[in-house]
Amino acid sequence: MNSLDAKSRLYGLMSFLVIVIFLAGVYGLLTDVLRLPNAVLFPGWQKIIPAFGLSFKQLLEGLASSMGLLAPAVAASVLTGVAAGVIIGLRPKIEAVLLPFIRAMNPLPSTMLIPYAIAVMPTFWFSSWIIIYIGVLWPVLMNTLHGIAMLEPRWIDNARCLNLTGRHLVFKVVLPGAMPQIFAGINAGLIRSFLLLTVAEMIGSKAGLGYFVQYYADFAKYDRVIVGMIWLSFIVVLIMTLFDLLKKRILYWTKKR
Amino acid sequence: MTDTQRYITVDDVSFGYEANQLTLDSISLIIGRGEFVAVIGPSGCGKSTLLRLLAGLVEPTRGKLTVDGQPICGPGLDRAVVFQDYSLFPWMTCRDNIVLALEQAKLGANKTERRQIALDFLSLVGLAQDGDKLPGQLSGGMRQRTAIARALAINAPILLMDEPFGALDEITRARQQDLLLDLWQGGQGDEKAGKTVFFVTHDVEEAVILGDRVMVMGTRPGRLVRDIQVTLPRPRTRMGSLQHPNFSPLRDLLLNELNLVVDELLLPGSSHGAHI
Repeated sequence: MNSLDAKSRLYGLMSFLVIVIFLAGVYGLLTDVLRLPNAVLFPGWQKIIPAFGLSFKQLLEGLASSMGLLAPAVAASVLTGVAAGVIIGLRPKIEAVLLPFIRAMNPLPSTMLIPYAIAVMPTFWFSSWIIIYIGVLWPVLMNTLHGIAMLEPRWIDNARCLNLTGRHLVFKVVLPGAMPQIFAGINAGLIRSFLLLTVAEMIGSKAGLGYFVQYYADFAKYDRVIVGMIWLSFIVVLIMTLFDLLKKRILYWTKKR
Repeated sequence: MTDTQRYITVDDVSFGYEANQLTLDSISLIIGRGEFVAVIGPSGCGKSTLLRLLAGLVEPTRGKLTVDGQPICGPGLDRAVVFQDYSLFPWMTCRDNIVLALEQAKLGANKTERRQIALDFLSLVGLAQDGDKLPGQLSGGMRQRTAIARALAINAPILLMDEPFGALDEITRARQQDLLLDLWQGGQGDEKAGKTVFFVTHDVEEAVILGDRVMVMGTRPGRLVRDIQVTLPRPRTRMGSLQHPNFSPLRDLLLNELNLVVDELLLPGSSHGAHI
């Protein structure tokens, strides 16, 4: 990473913070100072900041609960999605049969499974888990298949000339070559997972960040609702930033030449 | 003929990607052990396809190919292939690319030894300092040298090279030709180390500078037109060959054969622009 790159990234971060502070300032001006909008629906910072202090323990517990659901579900989707993608993707005849099915499943919102999942699965945790799992699985699987289909023919020629087969072929050539596309799939899956997580938590849960927001909305405590939303946004941005760092790490070889 | 003279045989081979459209039509040729054969022809003549057949990457529609009496069925580590600028995996360092090839060829007792062998061959092509770089961090010429180092490292008796210098600029290409001459001639004479090379190119001068023989291919369908012995003494250098009195007649003969003498693009003075 050269200095210009670091400089322009710092510049980007600074402008982002300036914009956030500016918007927060406008909000504060409208609510705390001018008291223009409805004070219940739009509480000012004077109410939100103390609410944050009061809810801090709950927010941490909610985070732990949410992550305890999200992390295993996403991890399971990624592992099975990539593994299935490799198994199917290396067998064009099977892929030809399954691809239309996978294509059809991908855009279906797995939220429609929520009532059924709650009825079928033993606990709420499992029903939420399966909804996130299914929702994340398709984009990961689709993109893994896509990545394998788009492997450069020259890499395959090269691997064949070196007599690479089986495990070696998968781990030395197929996975690294398809990795940019696999990461695009995980990225899409992650974004979908936050949506599914909060929806699942708002509908049937007694814990988690989605539940926190829903709970206080039911009591019209919108200062807490806003605290929950800001906290959740912060967590999502943090996870995506960490994901981007991981991506850069693993896709080191795709940096511009 | 003895076995040494009939090392690689291509016997009445035809190939077509589609049933009634032949890319290659009835190709027959024999390559002796330790021979350096350059193949030249206009684009679309199927010279790269012929190389892919020898590499075992594709199977002939008709006919038979053998190496040392054995029919070619599939790729093998007895035939090292150098492609035009894509013989390396971009996610592995240059050294790891070579180490992987060594692993496949079951050379070197352990990882440490293989890494050492890889470094030795990188030094041989003047890249001792660049083993830890990714292919994407090197110039085209350095990448091709790494690919050659890898091909030499697995110690295959046969080198198949598909326009390996075709994407390089004029000066880099000249240097690579000299390096290849050095490396190949260094190994000749030694019955075991002497490598048989099948070198595809579209550059007439390159074919004459490098080859013992130049095969001229015609197009539509791809076929062998002429087989010309290069009467230049070994060991050669690029400069020495260019200045040799036999060079110009050979080049002119080949250009004639290619029926491209009239083609402005391949006139010696302007040929450079066409390749860069």
